[in-house]
Amino acid sequence: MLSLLQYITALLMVFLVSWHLIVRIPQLHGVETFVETMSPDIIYREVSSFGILLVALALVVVFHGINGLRGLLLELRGGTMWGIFVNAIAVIAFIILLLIGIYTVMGVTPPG
Amino acid sequence: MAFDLKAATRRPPSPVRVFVKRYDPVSGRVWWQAYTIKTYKGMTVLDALLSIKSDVDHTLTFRYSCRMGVCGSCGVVVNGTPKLACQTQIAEAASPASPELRVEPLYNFKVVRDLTTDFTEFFEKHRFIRPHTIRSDLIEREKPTLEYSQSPGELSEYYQYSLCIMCGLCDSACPVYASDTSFLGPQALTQAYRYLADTRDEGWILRLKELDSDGSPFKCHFAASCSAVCPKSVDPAGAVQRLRSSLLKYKLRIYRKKKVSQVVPPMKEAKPIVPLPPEATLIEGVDIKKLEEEPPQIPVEKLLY
Amino acid sequence: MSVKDRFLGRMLDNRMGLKASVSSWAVRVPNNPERLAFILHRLTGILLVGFITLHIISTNTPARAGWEAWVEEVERLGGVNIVSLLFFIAMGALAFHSINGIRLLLVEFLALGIGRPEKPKPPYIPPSFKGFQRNLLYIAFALSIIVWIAMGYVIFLMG
Repeated sequence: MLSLLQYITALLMVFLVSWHLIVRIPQLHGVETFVETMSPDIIYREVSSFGILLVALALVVVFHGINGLRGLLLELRGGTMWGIFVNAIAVIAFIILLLIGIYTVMGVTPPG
Repeated sequence: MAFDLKAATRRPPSPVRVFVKRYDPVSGRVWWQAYTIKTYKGMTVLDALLSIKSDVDHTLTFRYSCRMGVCGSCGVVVNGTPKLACQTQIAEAASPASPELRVEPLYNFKVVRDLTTDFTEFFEKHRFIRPHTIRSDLIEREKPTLEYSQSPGELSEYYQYSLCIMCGLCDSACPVYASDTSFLGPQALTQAYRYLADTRDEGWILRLKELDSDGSPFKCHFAASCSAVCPKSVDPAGAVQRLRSSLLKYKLRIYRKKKVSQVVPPMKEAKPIVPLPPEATLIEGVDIKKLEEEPPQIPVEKLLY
Repeated sequence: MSVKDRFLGRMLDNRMGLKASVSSWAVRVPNNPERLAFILHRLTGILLVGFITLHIISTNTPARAGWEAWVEEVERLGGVNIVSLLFFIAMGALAFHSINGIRLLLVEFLALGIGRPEKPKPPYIPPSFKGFQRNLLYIAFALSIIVWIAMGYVIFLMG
């Protein structure tokens, strides 16, 4: 089941990550430089209107990354204890990173 | 494996230094031993090992049987590449610039002694995937009446994968098999796909359920080294991708076996006997009329299960 | 005596382990750029997990510390310095991992691009090497370098 989700998240990431990268092109926002596309006004507009997409991106990316690294570590060594250890670390890291991602979207205030 | 077709026509450098990685199971010592041998045109690595064993060092241990790439016993690692010793020309492996050969036992296997490797795990994994057709018609399976139908197109779906000689080169080159002991390996998974693609097999639910375990094809990451080293061009990499795709479809509940072939119904009426052409001559003393009435019975012992 | 000796002996495990999955020189296989792609996919994947962890923590700044801290942080990406160089390397890893990932989705998820099974004939080139996934692999190598250069243009010359 996890390996099936790995492919599904990969498919979703193709669209979500390309969107995430394309919105950093300066011409789209009518500014000069790459750094100016990350000014507080533009970022606040993005986070407040596409917040759900950003949380979905964080969920998908964190799952794909953590699950990929988990599979890699389980391949390198056998043993029950090693499996439990890797799985526990993966679940904890997944929850922490996802909570930080949700807080990024929820906790933002308008720039004043 | 793409062979160097002109290697056998070249004259190999002579003499050649052969470095063999040896292992003594009693003392546990591992060492590289160098031998110098004289070569001739068309000499293979197996010939070189045999000449060392007969002339220089009779304690050198290796496994071989047919000398012509059919039995799959003589898999060794030559200059870092898993190869069949009997199919590797010395002219291909050693050049006049560096007249050296490094021969090691197969990677990812347990070494019994010198170049002889232990295939217990390999055959256990092959046994795990049930390398036989599974049928639901038990009476027909126990007491077969007629053959199952299969078209040439259906045969070509799995024919290539049935050429496997179980030499273990694919498992030796696989980077996942190198570290993960539970992974079934390219050979076993290819054979699993060979029986899944066979229309005579009905056990696809059982096979796919069992494959969705620790050794599943999801652990394959398509490094495709197995296909690159396979001496019979079985293409394990392609088979494992097809198997994984079938398994994904099965998990999404959309897998359907294309066709399960049934027993060919018996012929309704006997076909007319083709008459002998006029130029055909008979052996003296043969009565063709009598033979047609009473066909000769050739005794064949039935296979017992 | 010989029977006893056989039982005294121990087998040597010849598994390559980490060496085989990271180094393509441990097992030398001819005609196999897929193995290079596998190693690069794995290394860029490890790199990207690190990058994503840092990225999620750093993009949390507006919610955690306010917009002044965010502006200060973003300005470090302008010009050529250690932060923007590391960011550029992570973007290269992302370009290769995603473009090669699309190829792997086609090959592994849909079993496309690996040819049809055939009757082997000399010189025994397997069908999966003759399928279009091999061309896709070369395209993935080329395209990821082009995309990387484009990203470098956006980061450094527009930054």
